[in-house]
Amino acid sequence: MAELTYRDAVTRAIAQEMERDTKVVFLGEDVAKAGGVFKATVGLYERFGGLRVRDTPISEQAILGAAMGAAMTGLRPIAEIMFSDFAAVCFDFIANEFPKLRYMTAGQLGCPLVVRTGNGGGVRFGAQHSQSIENWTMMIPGLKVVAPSSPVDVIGLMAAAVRDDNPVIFHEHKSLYAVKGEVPEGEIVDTLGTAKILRPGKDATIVALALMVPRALEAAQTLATEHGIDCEVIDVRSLVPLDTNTILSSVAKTGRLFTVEENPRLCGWGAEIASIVADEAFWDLDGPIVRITTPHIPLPAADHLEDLALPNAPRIVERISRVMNGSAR
Amino acid sequence: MSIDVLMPQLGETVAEGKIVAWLKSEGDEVREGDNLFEIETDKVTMEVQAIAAGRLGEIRVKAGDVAKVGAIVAVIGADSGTAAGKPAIESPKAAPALPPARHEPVAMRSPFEEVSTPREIYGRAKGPQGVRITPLARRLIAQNGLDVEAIAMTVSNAGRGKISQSDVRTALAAAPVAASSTLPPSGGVFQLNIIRKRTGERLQKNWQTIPHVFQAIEVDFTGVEAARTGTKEKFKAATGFSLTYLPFIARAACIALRKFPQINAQLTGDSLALASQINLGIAVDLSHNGLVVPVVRNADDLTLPGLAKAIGRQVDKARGGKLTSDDFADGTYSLSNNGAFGTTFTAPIINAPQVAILSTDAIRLRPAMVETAQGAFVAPRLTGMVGQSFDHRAFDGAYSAAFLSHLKTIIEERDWAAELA
Repeated sequence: MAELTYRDAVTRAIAQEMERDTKVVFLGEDVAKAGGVFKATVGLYERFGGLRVRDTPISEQAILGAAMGAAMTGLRPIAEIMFSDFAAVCFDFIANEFPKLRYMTAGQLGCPLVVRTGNGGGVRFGAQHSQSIENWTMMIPGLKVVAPSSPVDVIGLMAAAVRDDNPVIFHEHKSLYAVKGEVPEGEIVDTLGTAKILRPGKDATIVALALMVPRALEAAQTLATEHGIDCEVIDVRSLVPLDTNTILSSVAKTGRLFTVEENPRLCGWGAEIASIVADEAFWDLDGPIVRITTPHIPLPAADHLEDLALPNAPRIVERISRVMNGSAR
Repeated sequence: MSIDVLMPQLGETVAEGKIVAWLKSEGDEVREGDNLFEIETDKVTMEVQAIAAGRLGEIRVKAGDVAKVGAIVAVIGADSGTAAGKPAIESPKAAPALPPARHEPVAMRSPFEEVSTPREIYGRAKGPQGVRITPLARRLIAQNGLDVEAIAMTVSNAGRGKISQSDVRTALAAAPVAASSTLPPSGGVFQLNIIRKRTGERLQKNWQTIPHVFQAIEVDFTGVEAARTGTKEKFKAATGFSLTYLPFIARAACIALRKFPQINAQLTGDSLALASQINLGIAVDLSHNGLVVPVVRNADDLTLPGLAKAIGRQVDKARGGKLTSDDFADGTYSLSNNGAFGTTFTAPIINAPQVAILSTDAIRLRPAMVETAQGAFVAPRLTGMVGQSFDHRAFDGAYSAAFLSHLKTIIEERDWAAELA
């Protein structure tokens, strides 16, 4: 199997879908001739032409408005919002327009589009360019919310997102763009709403997303070798729809749940999962549910401060080993 | 003002419940959320809480008595004589007692849906000696009828302040697996929990009153295995459930039962009532700590994959202690699978008022005679015994034998690959 970076997987995913369906178009700021500021869409313009791969003015509202119009009239657009933080300037489309269209037209119109966006921290971009906003989109009824952690999932989930008849917010992680992973040849299509168990274990369940997945896996390795704690690591992949089956089954097996989130602590997605597990699997729990999150602060740009803010493997190991050994809470 | 305490609905098909014990006495001050009394149906016991505060004025249905759903079992309030006022426990007409989500399969749920909180209460978070007890530990202690005081003592003597799963498992492992009257009780004596007591009473009655006949037939599963081999990984990945031999046997039984309706029936008094649906009871062993038989309803409406999923869900619910009384109701035929331990055949006890129960045991490679145009050869074939205990009052041996023979033909010759496709 060939190795591909997360960044190149984005290009391959979009190309796969544009090749398959001429209704798929792609637009955003500097995405065409420049190949994207993260170089995640290099070559698409040359391959599919200026009609289907379009540079837009610097207006997020214009990008999403155009995408919505295209989706309403039969195309299947993929729109890029360069930094997910900028979702705030076009949030009317994300929160009020896309997800309500089918409902408010009694099904006469749909909004089959994908908003792909560079999400998350770790690249020293500062408070306005480093946020993890998957919890912003998760809270809105009518949106689907995806955040892949590996190149192969980028392709499979992007294909599923493009083929879905609903608006999907596709959070690519900026710190993962350079990460390589094995990707099989040929067409790859995955299923939204399916979590993946990346490491089976019997003592505790760790639920993670995007950049937190490799960190959780690294922590699980250390916890096994140095602390004798055998963790099951679940990559949620899709927050809406949410694969509660996999999470609840795992908690039923291990009796312990830890969520590892890049969201700031208040109202991070892990709170929702903790709530579901407390409701549905209370009598399977052998200890409190513990959330490991970014603190509720604007993210600092300085290297060592940002590193302190985001959950990392040593912090995950420290927290889980302390709680599992009964010395905390 | 006084408030009526009503007998709650224990499940859609349950009409009455027995009060096992009152946890409060007349005259006691009751707070909202306090456990008031314990009720029991065949296989489920649960505690019922007060949803209003006040003085428990009068207990109208004493411990040991049975009351209809919705009946007034007690009155909370200053004036115990009148039964006016707001019911302390919802009337079954006002709201279904179990949230619908409890009956849903454990499938993917969208966050748009409400989640349901388990109704069962397994005791307080603070135990004797002031130790804390985790939810899982509380459930395991209750389900296994363990002595929480003893575990608390052990934990607190060890200098710890919390009973967790591992403490309960240790206590369970220390408890003797079975007490035998022929041995001196040097290995210890333990109290049967309520589920084991009820199961025992039923089994004894069925064994003593039903004239059991057992028949078994050897079945070749080589064809089933061929169909399984191509599909089981994919099935597991797609559904989370294993595609074992059991759903094949269950599916074949559903088809065969349609042709032999007297086997899918209930014997009451002098009449044999043929069931219009096939509701399959699946015997599930709770890791040697009890036996429950949850029901897969309308099993003959399901395809093989559907049946495999339905059985898997009921088994998961059983092992997770999440069955409700509805899961046990209305079985018309039962299946007992003992294959895991390599036994050759098992003669099971019929679950009255049903009239028959099927048993399956280990399916493994055995030398078998295979007849061909060139003569008979010995060949390795996957074979296993499928047996049936039946109630001789309901029908005769030839009828049962013809059913087993038909069942064998279906298992061996059906195009399983097509049904899995």
